[in-house]
Amino acid sequence: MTKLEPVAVNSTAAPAEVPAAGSEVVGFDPGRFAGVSAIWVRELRGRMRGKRAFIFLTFYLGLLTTLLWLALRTTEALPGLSAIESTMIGRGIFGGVLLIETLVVVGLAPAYTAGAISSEREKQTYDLLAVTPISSLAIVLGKLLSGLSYLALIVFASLPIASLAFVFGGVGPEDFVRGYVVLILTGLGIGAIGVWCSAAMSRTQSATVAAFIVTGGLIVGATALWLALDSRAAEGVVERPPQALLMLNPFIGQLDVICEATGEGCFAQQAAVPRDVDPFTGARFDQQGQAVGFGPGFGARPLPRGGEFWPKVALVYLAITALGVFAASQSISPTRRWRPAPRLPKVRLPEAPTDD
Amino acid sequence: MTAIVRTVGLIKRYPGTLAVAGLDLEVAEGEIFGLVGPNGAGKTTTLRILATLLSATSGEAEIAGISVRRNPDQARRVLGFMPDVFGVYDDMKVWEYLDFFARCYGIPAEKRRRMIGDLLDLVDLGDKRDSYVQGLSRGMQQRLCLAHTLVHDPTVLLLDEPASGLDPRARVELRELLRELRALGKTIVISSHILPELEELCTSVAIVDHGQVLAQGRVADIEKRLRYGAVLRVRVIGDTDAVESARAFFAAEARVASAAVLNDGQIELGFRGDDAESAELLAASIRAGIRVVSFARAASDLEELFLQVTSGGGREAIA
Repeated sequence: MTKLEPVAVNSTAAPAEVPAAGSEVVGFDPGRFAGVSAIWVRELRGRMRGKRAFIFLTFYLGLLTTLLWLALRTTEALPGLSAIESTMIGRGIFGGVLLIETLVVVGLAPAYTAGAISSEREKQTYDLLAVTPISSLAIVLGKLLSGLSYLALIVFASLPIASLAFVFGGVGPEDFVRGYVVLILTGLGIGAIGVWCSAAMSRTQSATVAAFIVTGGLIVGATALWLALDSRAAEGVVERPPQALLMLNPFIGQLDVICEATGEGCFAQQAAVPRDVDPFTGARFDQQGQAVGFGPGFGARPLPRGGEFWPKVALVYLAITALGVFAASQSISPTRRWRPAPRLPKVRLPEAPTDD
Repeated sequence: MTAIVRTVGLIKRYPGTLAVAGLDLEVAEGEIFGLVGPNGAGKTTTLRILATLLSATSGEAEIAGISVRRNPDQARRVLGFMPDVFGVYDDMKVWEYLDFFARCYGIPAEKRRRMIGDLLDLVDLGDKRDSYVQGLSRGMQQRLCLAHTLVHDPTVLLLDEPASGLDPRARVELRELLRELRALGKTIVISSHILPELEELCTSVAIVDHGQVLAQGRVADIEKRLRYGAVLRVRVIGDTDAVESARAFFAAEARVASAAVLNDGQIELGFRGDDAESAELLAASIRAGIRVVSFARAASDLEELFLQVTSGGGREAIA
């Protein structure tokens, strides 16, 4: 029989000073986050094993390439492409790729994360994981990052295709950086919602449905509500609904990035201008369409410029990420919840006898 | 003797159910300790509380001096837990499975490699290193799961029904493995309702029913405490009538609580008395002309102890 050697584990022995009663997240111990990489490696290993992941990636890149090729063929038909026309094509590629990738992230992030915890419960592997010293936060972060890693691979694998925009001009690398910041934070936020649904529900199927409902509610629901409120303008209400509702929609955030880069698709800016003011000229009109003066800010900034809205969207999704991760770590298990050091009733254990 | 697992007044209440009702337990270091009890006795709940997977409604539980309630994170570093029902990650190889759990405990890469080899040899899965976990037999998966509990070299192993679903050969192998682990200095708390299995393996047992410990200690000690309520088996010469009249004689004795004729013709007596009193009963039966061929206490085993303890009379005897 093989003799087992004692294995040195990070702080195997009980520490001299124990953490405050009932509080699991006390201080920062880097060893407790070793689990993030453990879970990440395990999940990626499983996901990337076999052909399925590569087939999907190839299909996605093939589809994107085909769309671009069709667009390029159209431009080849144009005799003597001017510099302005070339710029417009570059901007079109940039905007198109960014919106397609946002659609991919919004559509796939809930699907990739909604089974993170619930599938462990379904496979009856959760207890084995929960009895390790990995913190709840590390379990959630590991699951979130591993769920989104494949998505990140899909998004970043398309960068060479998206960079074709540089060949035509009209956009700079900083425009891409802005777009990818919104994209990454959107993925994290929606992924965190997926992990939270997964932690709160026992079945993956229910968690997936819930994740899509919550995501759809945030993106489509909030925007639809804004549009519904905005339609009151027809009844003579000129004030626009709160712009904060639109901050939940990453597509409008990306439109703002595109607006900053190209001057087109400035939905967020137009949505901030009162209904009776023309967003381009600043002229104010009455209900009969007669110009009656000028709106606020006219002269200082008659044409709306992008760049102010997307950082707000990014911040909103950062906050959603933090909330989702916290809620998931609280839902993961009753014994793994963080709670502010409660005063537990003390039970005195009898003295242990020292010999037989 | 140093208690390495202790519970005091442990209570776990679910809506409408009291799963554990003030359970006091003490397990000495280096023991293979059996938790014996019928289904629903509270064995699994107790083990899950000790494994930090459930929080107790009240009471205290310690492993290696660490409160599982106040310091669950520290407790997880000194215990290994194998649940009664567990699944396996279906997309992992055997070595990857152990590697994953070793990473969870923050074991450095170079130590992980060596340790995985040692553990696979220990559980006799060295030749399955690169096999997929889902391709292993149930017994092999059970051994692999046991190996995973050892990656961080825990002091205490909590094994919930580890032999359930195993064929006889796999059970024997598991038993040998647990003995080896005890030899390596591990304290093992094992729950089972397959009593003969525990009897061969355990150094001490606790008989649990309705969430309480009814008896606890070495099997022989519990037996001694219960001796006052032994089962006697008597064989007599004669036809059916002779056997029946002998049964009636014994049934009339004050210290005999019950007397029944078994299928093999033996008479089984529920006897309340010690060895001297049973000798007196034998002498009296011979004086009464009963032709006794054999008169002996039924070989006491864990199953019998369990039945005695969980019956009303046994509870009184323990009390």
